[in-house]
Amino acid sequence: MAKNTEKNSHYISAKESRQIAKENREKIKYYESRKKRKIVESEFVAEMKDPSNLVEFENLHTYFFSDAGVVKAVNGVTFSIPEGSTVGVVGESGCGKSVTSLSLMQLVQAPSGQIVDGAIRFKTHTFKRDENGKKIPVYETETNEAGETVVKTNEKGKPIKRKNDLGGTLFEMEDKVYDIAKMPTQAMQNIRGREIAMIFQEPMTSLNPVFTIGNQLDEVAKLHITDLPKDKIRERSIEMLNRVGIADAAGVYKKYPHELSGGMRQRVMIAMALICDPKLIVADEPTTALDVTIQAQILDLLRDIKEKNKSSIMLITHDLGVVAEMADYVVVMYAGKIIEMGTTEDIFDRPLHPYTIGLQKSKPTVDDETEELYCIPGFVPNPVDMPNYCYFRDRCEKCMKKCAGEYPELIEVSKTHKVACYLYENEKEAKGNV
Amino acid sequence: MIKYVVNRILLAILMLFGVSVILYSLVRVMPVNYIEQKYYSTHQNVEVDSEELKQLMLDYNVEDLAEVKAQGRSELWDKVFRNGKPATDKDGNVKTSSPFIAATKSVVAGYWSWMTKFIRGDFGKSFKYNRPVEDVISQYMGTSFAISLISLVLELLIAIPLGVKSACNQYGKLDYITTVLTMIGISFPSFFFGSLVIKIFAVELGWFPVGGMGSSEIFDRMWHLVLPIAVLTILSVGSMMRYTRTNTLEVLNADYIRTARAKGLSEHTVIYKHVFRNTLIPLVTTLAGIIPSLFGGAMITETIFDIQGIGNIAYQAMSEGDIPFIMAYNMFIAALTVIGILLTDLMYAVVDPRVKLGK
Repeated sequence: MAKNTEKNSHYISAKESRQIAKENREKIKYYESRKKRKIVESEFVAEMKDPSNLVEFENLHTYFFSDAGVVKAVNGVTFSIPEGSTVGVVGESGCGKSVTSLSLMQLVQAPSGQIVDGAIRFKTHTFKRDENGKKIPVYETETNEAGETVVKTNEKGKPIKRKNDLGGTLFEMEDKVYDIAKMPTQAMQNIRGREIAMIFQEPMTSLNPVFTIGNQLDEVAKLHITDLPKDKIRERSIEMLNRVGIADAAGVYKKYPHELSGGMRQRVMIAMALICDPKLIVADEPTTALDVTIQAQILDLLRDIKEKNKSSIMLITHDLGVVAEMADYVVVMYAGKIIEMGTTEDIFDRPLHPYTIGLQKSKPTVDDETEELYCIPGFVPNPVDMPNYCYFRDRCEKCMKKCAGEYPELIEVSKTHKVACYLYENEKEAKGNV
Repeated sequence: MIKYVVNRILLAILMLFGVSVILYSLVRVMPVNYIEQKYYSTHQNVEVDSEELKQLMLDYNVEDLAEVKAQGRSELWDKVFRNGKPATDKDGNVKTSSPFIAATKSVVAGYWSWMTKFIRGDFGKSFKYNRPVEDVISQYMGTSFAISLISLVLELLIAIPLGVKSACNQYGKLDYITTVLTMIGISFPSFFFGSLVIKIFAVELGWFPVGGMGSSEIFDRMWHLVLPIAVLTILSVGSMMRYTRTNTLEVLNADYIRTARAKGLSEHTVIYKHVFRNTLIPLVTTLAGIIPSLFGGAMITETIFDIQGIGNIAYQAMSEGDIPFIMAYNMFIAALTVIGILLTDLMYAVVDPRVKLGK
């Protein structure tokens, strides 16, 4: 029997299937209730390890409780996004890069997908709240005859609230660090769209087909900027459409998504992301579905916005060219784990991990004389029941005896450059000796 | 748009023509016969009421009363419908006015005579009521429509919120409970469920009347209609709820719902604005298709509860062989169906901005 199961590792007996379903139900119930519970803010307030970082992922585990077993889509990922920088996350399909970004937004496909362990610390600029949990508005003040500062009132004797640059009510704000992995959904809704905005891979299906572009754009400002008058909301939406390079912004505002091309829809998605000037833009393969000329335009646009808004970008892609052009730091993922990370120069000029080297080689170039494109042999292993050795071992050209052992830890080869491979173990030791 | 509608109406007329050919052929081979049903017992005893037979003669052109009396049932039958010579006038032309009598006309000639009359607005005269069929239909249509409409409204009020809710808690407790209950509702045949309800609530508990319409007083009438409306609602709520649930589930997994969540919208707004508006597209269009059919009545339920609605009347006509009525009623149903389909397509253009008609 044991032999049999070993042979067909994908085969699950009815008994096992029931067992899996039962365990999944229990776990999903637990994690779902965790997201719905009402807790005080202090429970998810955290502290940054490095204050210059905007986001810190630490030992993040995001699992999918599927009928075939637990899929560890993100399995202990640790990296950070410094403020004002672009971090590229690369890897082939199914390596967990999208799930990492969705975990950051708490948008992993529930109920089967859940953040199981780890922390996602995010430096937020959020509303100060009074004892009742209400936002505290800032009032207009003036100096009276006695020389004291008092709150300005209108004719009815009510205090006048101060307006922000856009025309909404200004609230007292404070900087805090939240652990997104622990946050309940309710609190998360305050961050989504306002501080972290996301651009999705599929512009063709990412806009609601039954509402106009204007309706969908307005929603964001209406939601996150309090007391903004209607015409100002509209103005803001059209301004954003102009900013992403849509020529007939007022016309597009009235159109339905199906009346626009893919490139235009992706621009609309970016405009939607920009409305609240987010500190972090998560771009999940923003150019994959677009043709090459539009790709370049969209990337230029993103870079431009990043500079103007001083925001950070988490760029998820499998296109190494895009990463080389855009990113300051690169994280290479394989089967839910980080196998190499460093600055863009580190990864492109001195790739260390055999997988990264393979990726570089499989990139088509014009002046390459070899006829056939290089291809990494084999496939990504089955995500259910991953082995406890380097996941890349079976495909690796430089496989050693040691690779049969435990999964290698990330080895720091230089200050910025880390790699998870036994090939470089000596460098760490050498460094340790010095 | 107007061009599209006109096109569709012309097409509908063509469809109705096809339907009428099939209907006429079916009616011609129908084994029941009005006279046989009505005079069966009297013919056995050869005691035919003269008033009635006069009427019979008028309808079917049977000339010799004495002959009928003498020959009894089967002879009469053969005379009028099968081999017997039809009554003729002095020139030898067939005198009968009914296009349904087999002996008098061939199928094609009969159909032609029926159709020319139908087009001119003469839908025939009911054998049973001895009145134009359209009068009979419009007399009983109102009751049926009221019952069906009330139960449709109840159905929507129950099915749609329940469907959305159970889709949002897929595989949750609510979902399982509603699934089981609606499955029971779907799988019960109406004649069985109707009888069961009568047995429990009318016979055993005595809370409601067994059947009928009661007096014309409004509360009494409502009292009589509670059970039939409940039966109609319970039986139809299941499929509508499943339909809503499936549609909602499909929309919930769409990319644009993830976008809506990524904006920071609350779950309530996501579901009741972004999801629901998309779920509505198939719902509204199905609904538009259902509404005309409400005029057609609920045949089985009305019969079980003995409600004088169009469905019940049609059922009686069917079993008694009131052929002009059957023909006109079925054409009426066919027309309602065609209108329903047209409305469905028109509603698509109204609720879904992606659909443009006539392009």
